[in-house]
Amino acid sequence: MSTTTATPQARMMRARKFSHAWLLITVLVIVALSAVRVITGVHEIDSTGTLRAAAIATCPILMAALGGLWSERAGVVNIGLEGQMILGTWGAAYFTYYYDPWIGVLGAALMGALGGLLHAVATVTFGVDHIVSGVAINIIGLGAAEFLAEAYFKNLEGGGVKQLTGLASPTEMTIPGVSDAAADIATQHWFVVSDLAAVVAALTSRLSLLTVLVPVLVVASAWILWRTAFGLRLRSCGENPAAAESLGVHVYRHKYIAVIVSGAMAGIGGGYLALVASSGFTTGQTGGRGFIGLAAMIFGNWRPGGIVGGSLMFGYTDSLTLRSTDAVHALLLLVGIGLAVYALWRLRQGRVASAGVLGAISVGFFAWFLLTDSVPREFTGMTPYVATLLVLAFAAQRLRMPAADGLRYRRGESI
Amino acid sequence: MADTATTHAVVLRDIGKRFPGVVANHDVDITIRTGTVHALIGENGAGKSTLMKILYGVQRPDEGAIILGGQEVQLHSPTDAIAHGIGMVFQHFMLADNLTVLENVVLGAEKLHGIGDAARKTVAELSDRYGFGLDPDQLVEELGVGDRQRIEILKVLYRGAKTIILDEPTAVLVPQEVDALFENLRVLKEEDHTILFISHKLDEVLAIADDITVMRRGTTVGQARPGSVTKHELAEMMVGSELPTPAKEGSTVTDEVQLELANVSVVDPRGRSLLTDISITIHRGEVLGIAGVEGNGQAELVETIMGIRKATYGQVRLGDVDITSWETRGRREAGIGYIPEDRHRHGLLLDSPLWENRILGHQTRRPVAKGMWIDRSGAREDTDRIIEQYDVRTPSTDTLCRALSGGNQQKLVVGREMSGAPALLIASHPTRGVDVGAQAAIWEHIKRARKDGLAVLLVSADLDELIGLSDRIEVLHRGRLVAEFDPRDVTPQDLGAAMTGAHEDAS
Repeated sequence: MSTTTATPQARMMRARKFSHAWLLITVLVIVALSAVRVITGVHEIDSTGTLRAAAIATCPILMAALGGLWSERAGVVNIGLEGQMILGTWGAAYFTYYYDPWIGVLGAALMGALGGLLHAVATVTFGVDHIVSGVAINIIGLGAAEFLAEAYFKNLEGGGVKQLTGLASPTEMTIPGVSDAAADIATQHWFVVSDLAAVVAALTSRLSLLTVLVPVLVVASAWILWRTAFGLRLRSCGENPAAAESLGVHVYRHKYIAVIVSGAMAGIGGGYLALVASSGFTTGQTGGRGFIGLAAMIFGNWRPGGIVGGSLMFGYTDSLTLRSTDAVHALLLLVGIGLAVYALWRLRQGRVASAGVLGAISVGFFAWFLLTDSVPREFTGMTPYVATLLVLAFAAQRLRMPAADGLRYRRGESI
Repeated sequence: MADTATTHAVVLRDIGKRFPGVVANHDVDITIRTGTVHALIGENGAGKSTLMKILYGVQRPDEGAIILGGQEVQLHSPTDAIAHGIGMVFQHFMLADNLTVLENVVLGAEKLHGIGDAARKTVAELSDRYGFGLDPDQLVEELGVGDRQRIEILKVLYRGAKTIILDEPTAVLVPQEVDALFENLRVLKEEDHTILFISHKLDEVLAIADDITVMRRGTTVGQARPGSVTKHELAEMMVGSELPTPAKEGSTVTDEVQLELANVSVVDPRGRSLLTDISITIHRGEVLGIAGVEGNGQAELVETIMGIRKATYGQVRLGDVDITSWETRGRREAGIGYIPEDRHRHGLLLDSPLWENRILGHQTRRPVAKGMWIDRSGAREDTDRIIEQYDVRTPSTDTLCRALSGGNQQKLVVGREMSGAPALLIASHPTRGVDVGAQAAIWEHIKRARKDGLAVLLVSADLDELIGLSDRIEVLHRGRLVAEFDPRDVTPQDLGAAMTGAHEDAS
């Protein structure tokens, strides 16, 4: 254990290697996507419109995943994210109708936070099993939103017992010049260049400020959780609450804060659905995105970078389903390539068995791609769950959830 | 009282603490001089831990006074205690494995130096100053027991503690690590820190302490200085009578091989070797002791013999039957009894009554089962037999296991595993966490069974127990058998050297 020397350098090296890996993966994904587009001729696969839709589909999932991150890092499993999101959709609609969209976003956060508070009271104060409480909150959230919609929206203009349409949206911005030029290049269908241009175009035309807020919240959360004393205390509650308590950390308080923030994040995700992804509130509009967010968080190994990756993947497939079945079919090829690359990587690590399995699955995808012309729409809906299962199956040993995640903690019981 | 203020770090006067149904402490008086190592000794359940929790502000005394540096104080929480310069190192480490050394140290004390580079520098400085050799950025899960303990000490030093409570710090250490710890403690003492050292290991207490206070049944029963007291006298003060020893009488080893492992290796799914080329034989009437620092393959060895884990290579034979591919239940039915190392996790259902616990592991056999049905009355009757023969103190067979003390729970487990006349007993830490009385009883039962021809594999961290009970001792280090000793002419120091691999390096 004599490793006192060379630590800062080692740390820098590790960090650099890490960011290099991410850069490499991003470049690989873009090149592969571009190659698939050129090979199949399905330009919809990353057209400006598709990417715009993907960004819009990603944000609610990412907010739910971020909510999950807050809560689980403090040791509370929050499968009530879906219910908190639903509360958020109602909150956004109500406050936007009477005030303006930004108050609406706050309202969404507030309603989500209320759901979080309920979860915190149940799990932290009363020691209810986290799953039981979470399921209850999902049911309550759905019921409450339906009740509140009927009670408050029925007689409004554009409202009904299950909806409230015609809401104002948060400000959208377009960067003139850049937007059109990039869109232009994107339609040239050049290898790689057009794909990058499509990304730029998607991000510069009619970009909602709420979409900008989402990554800001992700970065802010990452910074708070990993770079501040408060964040360290919060994470310690998820790793070893008894140890934290013995050092004077108020475990209950931190868990409360974490779960309430978690609910607020999910609520904002719901608000996004009502204000940006569509122009109004309808009951049931979350469509299980809270659960997909949870899956994205597990997929992302309880880390901010990972959950962004997971959410992007799930949001992208989600948006493809709605736009073009051809694109989904082309995606099979992309998945096949991805799996093949992963298999080769495993083979290089000397993990022959898992490389073999991955290789076989990859061949299966290639065959599927070549032998069929379309993919049933329902299949893409399953993507997040299948992908999460695959990740759990293949990377379970490297997934590292907070050590005390989901465990009941009673003050003084273990010291 | 000015004199008190300068020379006495801690004075506890007439401390009492009651829990529903139990008096944990009464009339406790302790005076701890500044800059000394003060040992607090006593058996399990003598009230040492409760007293320390009171001093650390985890629990509040019902009566009595805590006087720190000459001033009476009220400690409402650990935070208060820390503010008064008291730090505690728990027996079970309070560390978050998934955080770094630095994060574990600064947690809760972020106001001192933040959580960034300033804190890193301070931690590194403290580590160097006391010779701890810790890397602030290493994850705790990568570190061994000795390092973890140093992190715990570093934690309290970082908070500026002048008085450090160590709760049974040597329980998890091998002799060489104990020496290293004592070296650390001497440096701390030179820097004018006061150390309260809780233990029941008399040799260690006599080696390190300046003053000794003895506790028994919730109260302090005497004080001593190491120079003027013998181990024998301390022991008598502790238990109120002479300590039992595990000494055995005469060899009962036969020629008949009961268990044979031939070149057994176990490789985990990630390709790491857990056990490498283990070959052992145990004869009827023989106790084979396995020594080793925890985590060197003892658990894997036991699990391989029990069939919980499968040998990747090699053979396991019970008598002359090859059981390598058998399931655990088949092995148990073939006559293997198993005392697991952690009775709460593997041995008992705490929220089930005693008679149900009697059935566990015997669910296919008489007298607790008839065909596919559980025989309730048979199970109750046989539980009564165990209660009587093994002196399990319990109101009835319907009492929940949770209500029993650790010693009585363990006696129930031992009684159950000895039921049905097993041919082989796997005993993993059979007396861990039980009081002296139960310990002596369990030793007695193992010795009697050995005389009747039982073969025993004994895994223990208590070297005295190993030496006292075993006919032969093998040492496991990193999943290999590295040395064999005859318990008649081995010292704990020899064993400790082999356990840390020193033996291997030397040859």
